[in-house]
Amino acid sequence: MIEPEAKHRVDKFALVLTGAPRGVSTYTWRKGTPMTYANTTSSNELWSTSSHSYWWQSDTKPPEVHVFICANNYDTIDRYLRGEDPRLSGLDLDPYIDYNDERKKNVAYKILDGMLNLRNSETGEIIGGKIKLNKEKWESYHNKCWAWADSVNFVYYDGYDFTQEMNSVHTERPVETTTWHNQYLHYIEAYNAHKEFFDSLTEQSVIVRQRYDLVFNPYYSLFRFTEYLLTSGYSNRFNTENWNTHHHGFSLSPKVFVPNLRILRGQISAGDYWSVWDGPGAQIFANNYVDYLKQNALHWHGLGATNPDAPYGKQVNWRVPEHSLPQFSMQHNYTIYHLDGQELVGTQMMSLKDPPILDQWRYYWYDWTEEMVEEIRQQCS
Amino acid sequence: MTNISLHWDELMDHCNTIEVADGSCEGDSPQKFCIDTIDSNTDRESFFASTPCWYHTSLRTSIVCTGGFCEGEIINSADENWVISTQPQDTYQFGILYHPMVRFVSMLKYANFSMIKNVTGHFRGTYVVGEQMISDMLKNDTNWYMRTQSELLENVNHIIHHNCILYKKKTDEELGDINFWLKHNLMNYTLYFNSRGNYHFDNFQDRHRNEGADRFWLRDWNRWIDRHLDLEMSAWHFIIENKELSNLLYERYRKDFELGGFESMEHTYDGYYG
Repeated sequence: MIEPEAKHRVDKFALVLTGAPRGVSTYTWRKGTPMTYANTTSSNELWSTSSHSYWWQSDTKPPEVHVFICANNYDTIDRYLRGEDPRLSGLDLDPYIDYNDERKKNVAYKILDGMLNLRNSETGEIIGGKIKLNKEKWESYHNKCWAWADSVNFVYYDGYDFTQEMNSVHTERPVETTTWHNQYLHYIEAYNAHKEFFDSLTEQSVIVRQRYDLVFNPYYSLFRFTEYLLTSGYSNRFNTENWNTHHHGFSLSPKVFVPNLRILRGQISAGDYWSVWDGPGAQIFANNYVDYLKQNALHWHGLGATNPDAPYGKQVNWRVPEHSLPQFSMQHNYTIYHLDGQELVGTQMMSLKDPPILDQWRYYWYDWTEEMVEEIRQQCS
Repeated sequence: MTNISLHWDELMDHCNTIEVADGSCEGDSPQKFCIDTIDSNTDRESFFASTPCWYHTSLRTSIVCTGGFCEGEIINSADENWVISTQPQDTYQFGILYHPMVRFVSMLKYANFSMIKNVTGHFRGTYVVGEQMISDMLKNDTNWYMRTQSELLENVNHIIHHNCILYKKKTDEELGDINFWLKHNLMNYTLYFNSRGNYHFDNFQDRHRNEGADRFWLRDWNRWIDRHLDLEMSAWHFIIENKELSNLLYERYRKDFELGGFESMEHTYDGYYG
């Protein structure tokens, strides 16, 4: 049961969907994401027993919900597309690359590179893409899904310039695409494209950044995140003046709420599939995250461990995507809330199930054809 | 041609015309065929491919499984007198004819893609769904799970049309006559195994053993246990939203459509089950 304090504390919700659009074309996703989040503002008959759906009196206006739908303009290469797991690559379920054969994997990368990437003929750098997002289909689909929201905003991203910029900062190991960073870079793009809106958000706002292939417990709504973000202790949440003030007198903001927080060998990490900020938390992240990536090559590369045999008590030099947001938040003195396990807060990643519940998203949203996959299969499987 | 009942009353009338052996079975106990064996049977594919039927231990009747069920239902049989068997039985056989859409999506979990088994070789099924995949299956897949119901029900004595399953449950008194037990058990079977009902609450709970106030065990919506429904409802929507796929389904299962007098499916998954 959601406490009224949490319900009436929120002034605005922003929901920012980032990363690769896995699972989005399925009814499972529609039901688990837009249809469930609709509980936030309206009474949803389907989930009539939900504690999230029935409290809006006819004379109460629910908080505004603004949705930001982010996607890459052009398809880019990721590890699943390269053959690691065809179920996640969004094309054919039958493997089209023999992943145990290094030579075939390299041939496949060359073919994929030719299909997906536009390179500068002189420098060899990737300067653009070839396989376009079908924007008309994408926008019409999302406009239908999110018709209940106060606004639906489309944000399109190209990481080519940014990759070149980062390669000029961290010159020791150039990278070709932004890969897992997209889940954060898409959010920053949304912030920059709608700066006025995001800058207007306050300590009472809730900004949910989540990856696409995430479905929510049907009984919940966006207020599930609010419970933890806005009423999570060290303050008197019933006091309208001091609800966000620690009893020693300082504001708890900026705040972030993350799943699965862990400290592993001295390094803080957390699940990266969703993160929830209040207004100041969202603004500081958007304005400073790129600088954080530039601070240290490790922040950008996401290496595996370089000294896995480090003695007990000594630092292990390793970096994974899960370190990125919590370590940034530590550096910027955030208040960090967490819940241990994503199921407790009601979210589940469709792609982390084995078998995953997913779709053929590259065929569905990007201009891929079965002939293109067949061409790779002929040479690489 | 096999008789078919389109409505519950027709089925009940039909029951009055047949004679079934009431009482306990002679010879080997049919319990030996109990579905408990399915858990130790690592080759589920051949188990299901061999056309199992539900066999009633006290009435010599059986119901051929054509689909529309899920494994949870099989393992938690509603009535302990119903056991599942892959052996041919000397029984009066009924078969349920589902809408081809229901049958197709419910069998998708057996789709024989190369990723079907995990590293330990256990059955996992296909849980990636998309238009290309459905289209390829309807055009090219000839595996056992794609068989038409007309073929599966060819030799049964009587076909129960899916519509019969919608029948409102009657009390024992209302049913009472000499074929009481046959009717009673057919009713239990068809109501328990019907796939129509609210996806998350009412009948869904029965299907997934989460039975309201008297629930046998209590559990919340679980995307792992209930994941085949994700596959089914997503495939359903791809088909109804894509005319090409609807046509392919019709062409592939034309005989079944004609046998049951089914229309092309236009309801959404929730509209149909809710």
